[in-house]
Amino acid sequence: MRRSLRWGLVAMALAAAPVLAQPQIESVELGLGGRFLPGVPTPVAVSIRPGGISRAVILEIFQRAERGSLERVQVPLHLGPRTRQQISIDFPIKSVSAPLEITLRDDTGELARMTKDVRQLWSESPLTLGIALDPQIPLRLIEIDLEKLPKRWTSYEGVGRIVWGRADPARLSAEQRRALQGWLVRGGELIILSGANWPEQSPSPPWWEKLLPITEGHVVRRAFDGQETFWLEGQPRPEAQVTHTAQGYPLAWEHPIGEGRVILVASNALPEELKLPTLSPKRSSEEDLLIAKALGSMTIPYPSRELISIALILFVMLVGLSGALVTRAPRTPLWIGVVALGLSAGFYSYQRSAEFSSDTYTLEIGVMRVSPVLSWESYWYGVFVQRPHDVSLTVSADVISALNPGTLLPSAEELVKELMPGGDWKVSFRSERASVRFVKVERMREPWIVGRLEGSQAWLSHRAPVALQDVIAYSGGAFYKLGTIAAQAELVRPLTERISQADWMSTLSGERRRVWQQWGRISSKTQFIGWIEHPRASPIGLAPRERRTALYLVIVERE
Amino acid sequence: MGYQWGLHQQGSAYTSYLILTGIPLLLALPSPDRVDALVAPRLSMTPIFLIVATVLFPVYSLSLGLHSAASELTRREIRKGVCAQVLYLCVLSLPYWTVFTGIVGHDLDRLLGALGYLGLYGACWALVGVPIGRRWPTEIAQFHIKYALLIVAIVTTFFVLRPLNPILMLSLWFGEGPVHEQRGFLLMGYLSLAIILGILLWWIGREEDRARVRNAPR
Repeated sequence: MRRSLRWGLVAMALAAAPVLAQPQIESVELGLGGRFLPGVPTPVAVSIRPGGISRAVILEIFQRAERGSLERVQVPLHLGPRTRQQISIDFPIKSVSAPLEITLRDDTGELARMTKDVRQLWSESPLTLGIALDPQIPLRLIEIDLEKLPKRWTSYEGVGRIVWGRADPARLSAEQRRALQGWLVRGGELIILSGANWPEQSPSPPWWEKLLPITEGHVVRRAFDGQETFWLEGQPRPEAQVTHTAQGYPLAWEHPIGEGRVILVASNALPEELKLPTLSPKRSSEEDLLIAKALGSMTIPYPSRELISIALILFVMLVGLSGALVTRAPRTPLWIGVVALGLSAGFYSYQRSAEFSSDTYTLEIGVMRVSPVLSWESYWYGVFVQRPHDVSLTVSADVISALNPGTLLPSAEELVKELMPGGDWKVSFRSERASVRFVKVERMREPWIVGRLEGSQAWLSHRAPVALQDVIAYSGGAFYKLGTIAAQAELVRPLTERISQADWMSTLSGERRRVWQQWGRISSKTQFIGWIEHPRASPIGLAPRERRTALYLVIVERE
Repeated sequence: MGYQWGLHQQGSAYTSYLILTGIPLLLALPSPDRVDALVAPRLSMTPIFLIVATVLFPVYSLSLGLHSAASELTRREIRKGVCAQVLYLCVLSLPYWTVFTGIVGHDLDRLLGALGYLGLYGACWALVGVPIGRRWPTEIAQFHIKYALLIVAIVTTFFVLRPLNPILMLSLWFGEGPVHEQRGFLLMGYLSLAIILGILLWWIGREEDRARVRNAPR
């Protein structure tokens, strides 16, 4: 009996060994606080238990749509023999009915698979996060620990609003801080409830101070509705404004940060007077339409039509003529054959030339908003594929998303995004003959151009590897022409060449004017406006046999 | 050399083949256009050139065989001559196929693969034309037999013996799918044509040997 039991255990161990040696997907956490907004990048945290041996694997995340998988993200990993791995990546969940599929595979095939049902986790509207709130506020929100705030701005894409309570901003890591700043610049709404929370929030790090609408903040005791409460007071910044008052005292201040805003509330409760707009998912279809229209109106050249036609007609005439000559010169067919071979060789080499053989014609439009803190850049990339082939692009960006602008129907083939060792993405897709495809790319990086206006002089330090063209300085409600700044150069120039906005607009080409009308905005922070027309400034690397037209609007803002 | 292989006699055939296939090729040449117009569905002349050039090739090859059968040359010389004439037709149409390959965006390997098949296919039909031309010397009979045979052969091979269908094979070569996935199908096509060509060459040679034995003085 005991022997049988022993043999049984040995047999079970032998049977289980290969299974245990395989890496396993232990868990998958989705969204923030388990909720996500469909259609935008959502953080997916995957925990992987390694097998007994170290190996190179690929983690793949995708969702099966009605017509196959439309977007697939691949992350190459090296699994050690023992260390458990936590991978966090942002993936756009586009369908709320299809489960999210996560697989682990290597050269031999699939090693592990997990599916995650997303039907119960999605939110109709952008999420509202609450951090250390006390007392509870009348908002439907997801309470989240400070430590669990995202480390990438892209993970915030589904978040519309954050309500900040009794939490010390200094506890945020550098990555979390940059992510929060990035989210704000892109249109996030941060509501800070101060009052009794102020001692916890202050003294705050300098980056947080710059977000606040007031300086010299301090708390006073004040009686409201027969109750004594802690009340924040301070000096509003020039660009901030008081939005609500109570009994003659400021109740809420607002400070615009990029496309977003910070609302500072003087007490630790959300006042009823503060009417917060209902959050709705961002609709950027108008922006996306521009690239479709611009690509649609682009003319694809074919310089060889006349040349080839004439050569072929002459050849046929020669063959016809040779029939008459052959009785006199019996070697004529041989020479005609040589001519045919020579013509074929000529055509073949000509068809390899750039003007004939460009497989893809692309158009890229971008807007780069550079502030002293960061450069927020958005690019719309449209590709017309003349001949069917596999397109592979190297993209150095934070978010890459396939677009469907509506006017031109893009190819329905799958888009595969593979994370490369340096942090860049390899984006590949198959394109059919005479088809289009649109991709939107966004990134945030360190500012690469710094400038200031001192009295009647402009100073600019430009570190990009391409020239900044037709720069305009904006000062005191007037425009001044500065000209072109060479790559990686500094410019010091007096503001003498004044130009009206109407005159400046009239100097813009059709494409530049369209881009300006879509994204150009003059604010009190605007300092310089310029243009880049070189694809080297793009985060999307040039593919072989690609002909790209690029146009980027650069807006430099002061702090 | 032109005299030796009878290339000089077929000048009008070559010219008419080039004119008939040249028209759809010129129409298939892309012209500068806006992307939205290029993306919109429209009639493409590219497959029309492919079909016209592929169907007319065996038609003209068979005509070359029929025409050669009427000559005073021996069968061995005729055999050599029709093969040279088909090769010459291939060489003359090479600029067209090169331009077509450029339009569809393929490489030299696909061009050579397709033209090799078309050459073998044409040679088979040219050799088939020799005994037909000898057996039915009248033009009207040759006309009926030629087109009946070609129509039956091309239509039938859409359903059976598919590797012997030139339209299918050339669509594969100039199509958008990967060729390596159809390696077996392609190999079968080339092998079948090579075997048929070998049989036809041997048979025509044997016919001449028999005739020589019959005509030899006893």
